[in-house]
Amino acid sequence: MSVILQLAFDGLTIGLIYVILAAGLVLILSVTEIFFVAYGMFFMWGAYAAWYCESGLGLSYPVAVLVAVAVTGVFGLLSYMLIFKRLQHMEGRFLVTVTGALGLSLILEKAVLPIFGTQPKSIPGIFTQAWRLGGVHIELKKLVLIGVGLLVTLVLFWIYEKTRVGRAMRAVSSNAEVAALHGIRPMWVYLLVMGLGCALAGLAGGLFAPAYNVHSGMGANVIANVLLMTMLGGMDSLLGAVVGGLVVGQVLSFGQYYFGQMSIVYLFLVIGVIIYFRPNGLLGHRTDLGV
Amino acid sequence: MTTPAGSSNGPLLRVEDVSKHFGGLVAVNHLTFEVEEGEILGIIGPNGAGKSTILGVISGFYPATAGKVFFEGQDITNLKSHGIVQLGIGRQFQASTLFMSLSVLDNVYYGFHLGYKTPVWNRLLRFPSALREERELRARGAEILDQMGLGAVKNEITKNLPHGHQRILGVCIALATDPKLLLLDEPMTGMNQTEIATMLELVRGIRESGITIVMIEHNMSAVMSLCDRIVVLDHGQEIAEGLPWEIRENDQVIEAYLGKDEFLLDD
Amino acid sequence: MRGFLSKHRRPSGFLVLLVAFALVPLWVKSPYYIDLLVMTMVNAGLAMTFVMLLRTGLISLCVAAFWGIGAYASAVLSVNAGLSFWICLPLSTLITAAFALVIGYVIIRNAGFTFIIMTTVLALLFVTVVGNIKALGGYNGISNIPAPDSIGSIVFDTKVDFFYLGLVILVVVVLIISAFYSSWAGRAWKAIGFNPRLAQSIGVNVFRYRLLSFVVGCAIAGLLGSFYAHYQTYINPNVFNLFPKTIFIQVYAVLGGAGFAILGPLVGAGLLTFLTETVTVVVQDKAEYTFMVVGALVILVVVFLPRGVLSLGEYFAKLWAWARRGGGRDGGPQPEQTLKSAGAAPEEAEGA
Repeated sequence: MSVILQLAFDGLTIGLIYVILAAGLVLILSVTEIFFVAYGMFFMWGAYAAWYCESGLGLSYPVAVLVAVAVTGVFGLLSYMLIFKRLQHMEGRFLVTVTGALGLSLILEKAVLPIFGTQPKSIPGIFTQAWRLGGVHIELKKLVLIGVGLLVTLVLFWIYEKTRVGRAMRAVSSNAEVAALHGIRPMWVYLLVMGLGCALAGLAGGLFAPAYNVHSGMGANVIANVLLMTMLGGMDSLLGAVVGGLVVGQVLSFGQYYFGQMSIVYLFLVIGVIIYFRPNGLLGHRTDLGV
Repeated sequence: MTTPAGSSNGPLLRVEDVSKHFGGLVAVNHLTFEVEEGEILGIIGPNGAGKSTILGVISGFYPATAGKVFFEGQDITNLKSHGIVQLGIGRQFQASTLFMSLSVLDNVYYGFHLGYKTPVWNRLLRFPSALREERELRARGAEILDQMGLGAVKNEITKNLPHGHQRILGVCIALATDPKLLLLDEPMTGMNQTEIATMLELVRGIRESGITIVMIEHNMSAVMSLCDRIVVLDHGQEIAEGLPWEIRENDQVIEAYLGKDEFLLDD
Repeated sequence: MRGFLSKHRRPSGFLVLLVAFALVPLWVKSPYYIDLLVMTMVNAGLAMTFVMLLRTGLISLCVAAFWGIGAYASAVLSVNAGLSFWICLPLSTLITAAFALVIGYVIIRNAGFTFIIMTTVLALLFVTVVGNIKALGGYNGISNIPAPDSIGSIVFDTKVDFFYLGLVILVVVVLIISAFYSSWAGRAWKAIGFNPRLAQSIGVNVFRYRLLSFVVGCAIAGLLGSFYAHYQTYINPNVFNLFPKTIFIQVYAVLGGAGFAILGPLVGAGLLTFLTETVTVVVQDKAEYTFMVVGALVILVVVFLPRGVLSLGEYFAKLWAWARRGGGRDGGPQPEQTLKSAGAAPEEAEGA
């Protein structure tokens, strides 16, 4: 019993990281219609940035996370302004944006090695308190992660559903041309979404860093999982991202324990079946994304 | 006439109690009409009346929510669009949907997709039969273009064509699929008077060659002069059906179009 | 024989290139460069299969995974079952095609993002799955894959022998691909790529033709995988990973020009393979710098030359034609020209 509770707790922790990641990716996919494979690398950069600020510069951990968010957000803005703004309206934009994103991820993935070194990193000594509750090992840093994750998700929903900015995002997502007719400048929305989405990846990385190891392969590792959950939930649904993230977190946590590394393969098969019957995912609406 | 199976003297196309919903929106609501062989049927109605939707349902692009569609007595309701083309229902699109970067002749040539018989390997080994087939189809493509008055521009790149020519080319592609029934989706939109006159002649010519036509059109004078029979839709429902002069004097139709100049203009 | 490679190019030019390429080992003796040439051929073939699917409007990021399936099938058949390379080659091609048929049947129903995500995940999963199967050697892979049996007096024991074997395979692959392109199947693919709705309206079964292109492309990737396994004699799952192998495959295609189905991948693969080696020498064997330079190059190409290096050729050809005509008219048909010829048609279009 305590094993199951422990797995559920760990699954919730990693699940909330995934929720933040999936939410950011869903925003980028549905609004900009760029297949942003480089997204996982922003997650990795967030983790490295938080590690560097904490261990290298000696900043306090919360400040380090904020710096990580700022760094990845600015990276996202720059990558849009310098690369994707030009590619977005080209002939055959699907191919060129994917290729551009692949090139970007190649740079971002390899750049951490000469800058930070090849050794895996960790941030020890952050929120080290831990309790045993009914046989479940509960660490404070994971509790903090869960709290922040929930808070960020709520804020994101509030922005997306209630604010003018969120309305603009939804309008551009459903039809950029119509949105432009209503006085929304799609360019600014794209820019905002790229910055926000990448900042969310950085936040997830910053939260991830104290609880897990930081290494150069984590960006590539995480992108498959995040893509799977956006498909599960639906590529244009923020709620779908939340559901997908939580479900995949639990499934991977239990799956890793019972099936080892192959659990992600089984997960993929299940999601494949779901997509076969519901091409838009569980909560998505649009079929034409990226076509 | 619930199952007009195989009856050679039944209608060519029968739309039976068809409804189409998009989410909560009812685009077509319990619509029933028939198309006789050899006629030109016009479908008119205000914007959003469900005209394009019903063409989409007939040609298999949208699955019907309810009801049935019969073509030559065969139930085609659940067939996919490529299967429906095979049976002999050709379709021209509303927007200028063409292979823009190909030449005009190639557009029609591609339209012969169903006409190819030679396997891939014969083409690689350049068997005479494969080459002959290609030559024949190209010649037939050029023939269609000549008949439709595009013979002189057959080697132009399609995106350089004027709008009127692009519309006609859309019809040519549909003709290449060798249809018995041709669905035209607003063939005269955006054309000037001369082009419309040409298009009228062409459509009459197509009917002369034995092809039945169902067309949607906004241009009332064109519809009135061209069509043998007219079905009027409003809010997805049929509100009138009859000969052009009957429709023109139908109170319900005039009411549906009230305030919309397009109907009252022209004649 | 005119038109058997591509309708735009005369095969005589191709034959000259082919003969010239076949003579390269007479001058270049270094096994290192021969190895690069062999890998260029494999990479070009893989990029051609990528372009094949791209023609139908689908972007597949799992080319390398099917390449891997072919390689593993061939390795297992030869190492465990003791079959000769000449049997393994067709068998592994068929096995890969069977995998492609089943997988494609499920994933091709969804175009756009769903398809590309499915293939991305498949590419990443290939490594996990193979790495966790003990019978396939796990992450350590399979070694001691035998060289092809000799045919008559031809013995495959040097890299030059493999160069010619690879060249023959590549020519066969090019012939197969161009056969498809020049047939109705290729035209249907192109029609789908241009406009799936219009393709449907002329009777193209979009799903079936996309599946056909997926299966043929993957089978060719499997064929190349079999060759690769016996050439390298050692394979492990990470060779076939998404990062960076599939990325490179896509980059070969885009760098050369995705609009050029045969020549684009050849030029792209050749350029990038040798460029990567040059960069590696310049940065003194620091692999991460090589990747970063390649990544930057990729971005520069898509931003400034989105239609590939070969589109430069088109540009120069236009310029040349323009210069030859004394600079009077542009290479392409001008609007007024179009109108004039259109005016010859019965209906007058000037008013439009």
